[in-house]
Amino acid sequence: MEGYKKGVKCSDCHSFDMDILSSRLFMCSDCGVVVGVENQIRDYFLHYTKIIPDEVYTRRDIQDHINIGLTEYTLQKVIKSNFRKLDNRERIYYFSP
Amino acid sequence: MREKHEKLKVYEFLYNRLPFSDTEKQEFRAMQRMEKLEARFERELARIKTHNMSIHWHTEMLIDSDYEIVNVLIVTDYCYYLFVLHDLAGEFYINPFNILCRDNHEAALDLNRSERIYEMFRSQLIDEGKYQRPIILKYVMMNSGFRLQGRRSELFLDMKNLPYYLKAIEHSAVIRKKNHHPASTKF
Repeated sequence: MEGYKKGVKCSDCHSFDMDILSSRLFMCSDCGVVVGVENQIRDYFLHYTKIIPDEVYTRRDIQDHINIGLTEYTLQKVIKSNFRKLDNRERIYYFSP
Repeated sequence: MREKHEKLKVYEFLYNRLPFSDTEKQEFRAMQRMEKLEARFERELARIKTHNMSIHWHTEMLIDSDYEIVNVLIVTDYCYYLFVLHDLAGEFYINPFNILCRDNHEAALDLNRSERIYEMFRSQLIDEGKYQRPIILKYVMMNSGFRLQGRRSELFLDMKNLPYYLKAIEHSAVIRKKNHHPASTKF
């Protein structure tokens, strides 16, 4: 999608300035709202999939979409909870929470 | 439990991700206002028992090339209640043509359209058997700053009276009249 800005944003004030508080929490730098990492990322892909269904992702794509520096552990947890491998192809995933 | 309108969810997701046209911004703001009104109505509804009624949210319909929104439809065994929510504030009056006008005479709401909304629902909500449940439409003025001068109208319900009105619906949903069999609620 041309001009589409990726990344997790605050659902209250729509700012992209999200800080990582811990492996489980994001905080919006603008309005201070605290949200769960996994919920926020799941919501992002749920909505993105409604607009662009049947999209497949590499691990790199998922990181690009989230656009926040998660630890490897957190990223792996997110992928394991929300994505499935496509036809046993290594490192290609589809969103399936 | 009321769900947020799907279109609003999409707009919220795409806001700040893609540039919005002026029309889209306008529509987004209108949907956000409507969402706030429906959330407020839902809070009022939470104060009554609703297990004897079914509640349907946010119906849009095209009437004479213009869209109308009925925010809430409450269905009981005895009646259909339609609620259209408004956030108008200030002094208003109803002119001889049945138009709600501001005190500067600017038209705010065409009350004649309530008849068209009624007709649309009447043609769709058909009950089995001889008894046809009545349909009651109310414009709920959710802003406490709304003042109606001069001629009154049964169409309007203000926030002060809304809790009592909903309570009356709750009571009427369960009253059993002798020899009267409630209509089926399927539609």
